[in-house]
Amino acid sequence: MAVIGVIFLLSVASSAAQAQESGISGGAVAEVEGGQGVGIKLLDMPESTQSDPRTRTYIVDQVGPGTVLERRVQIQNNSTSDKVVYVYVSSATIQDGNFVGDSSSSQNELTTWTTLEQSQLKMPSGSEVDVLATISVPSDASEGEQYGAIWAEVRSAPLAGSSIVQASRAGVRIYLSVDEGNGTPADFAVGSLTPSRDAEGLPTLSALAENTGGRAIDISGELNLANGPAGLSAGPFTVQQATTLAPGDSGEVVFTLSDELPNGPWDATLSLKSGLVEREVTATITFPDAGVGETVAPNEAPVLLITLVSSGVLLLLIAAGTLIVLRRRRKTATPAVETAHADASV
Amino acid sequence: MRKSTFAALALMGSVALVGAAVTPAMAATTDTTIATVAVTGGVLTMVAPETAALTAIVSSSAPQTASAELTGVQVIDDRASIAIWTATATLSAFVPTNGSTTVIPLTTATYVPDAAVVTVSPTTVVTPSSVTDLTDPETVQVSAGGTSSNTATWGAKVEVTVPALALADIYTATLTHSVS
Repeated sequence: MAVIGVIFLLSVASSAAQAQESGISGGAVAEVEGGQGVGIKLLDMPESTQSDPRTRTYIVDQVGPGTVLERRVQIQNNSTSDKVVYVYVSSATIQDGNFVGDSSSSQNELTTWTTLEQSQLKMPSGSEVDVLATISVPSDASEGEQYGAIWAEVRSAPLAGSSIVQASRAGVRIYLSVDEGNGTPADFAVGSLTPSRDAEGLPTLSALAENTGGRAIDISGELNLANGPAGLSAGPFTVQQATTLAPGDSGEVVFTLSDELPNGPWDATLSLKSGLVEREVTATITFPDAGVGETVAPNEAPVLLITLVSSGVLLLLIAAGTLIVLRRRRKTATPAVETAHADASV
Repeated sequence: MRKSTFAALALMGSVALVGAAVTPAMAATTDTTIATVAVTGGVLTMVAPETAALTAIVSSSAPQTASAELTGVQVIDDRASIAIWTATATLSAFVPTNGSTTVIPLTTATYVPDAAVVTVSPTTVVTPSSVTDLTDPETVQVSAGGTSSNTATWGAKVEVTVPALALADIYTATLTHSVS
């Protein structure tokens, strides 16, 4: 069971007696219903960037001024009742490493360029509707990256005497970069690694990531520890929290590990990625008994190899190389077989 | 000859692997300047709390706190892609039902989420974050990257500070949960 729509009622009485007389009691008015709510997803992604997992989930694009983008989103009513769904675009910001969609009335240039085919849907239980979003970037648009989100919002039914409703909304993020040329590609660097112990004594490893590219990035990744005391290995550990960084921003990517781990030293291998951009760094670290340990500068692994593996290009190169080698071998092997035949016939 | 056939098949297999995740959009829109393909996968859903009840308070010469325990706030991520999401909460201004002029500030309203219970893909890490000002949407839970669907369910405590000598009334506000 789930509830869609909660209105907060706060009762303030001038005296305890009045509260009792008037029957005022704090509470929420809720419209209870079952099912899985109302959800949204992106339907179209650019053909040219389909290998990038970010473009499968968000509208991530880099376009020139004057470009018109069309993308569809699909809204599904997976609840057990009919719903009125409000569809709109709001601005968004990157705050403290998180992508945060602003309130419904918040606008920026991107939202003024974006129009939606429908703004209000009456959706029966179990139905789905595709909504076309058109982003018309004006020819005089200034260069830079802007953020927004397309929302599907469900509000509780207005109650008698109240016009205030509660909203639950799910959104598709928009990261739109406007640039005359190809723009500065997405990139980031891992500056330093700091082992420490948190307030509960758990070992943590903080990696300082800097967005050195021209586009916002969503960093996630994992950590492996090897060559520890008595040859111990541990991991992979998943990053605790995905970090979103605007161009030029720096932020910490923190891994919290098990308190059963000895202090080390460990050979740490950190793999961080945002879409197709991957960075792998290694360093020898030692967790302190308490507080903050020694910060170390990591060594970066060859980036080209990682990028090639992630894009599947390496697979193609290996297959092509195998073909060439086999063909050469066949050419050199054929005369030998003929000679053997000749010998046998003698 | 057999080896080269095998190698050719391996090459085709590599290509198929790289391009397996997407299918051409059958209902591709026209008049677009950028070619697109269809995305597979499910939807991202925000489900509002099952329960929420602000405690009633009696006006006093000192500021007081009204609180509400939320249960069953839920994010369902069936996109089966990079499972990164940010959930936020915000509160609209409290509106008095009977015309009271007391303003209940949102800048001191707090939202303290519990650790989320993650199901479907329990390896997905979801980190809670407390909020001390609910004027604008602020992050309350963030998921880390993954490739599987996940469902995160949490409870939270919302507290509102009612100023001293507040006028008796019933004040209403809207609590909004978002996920993207």
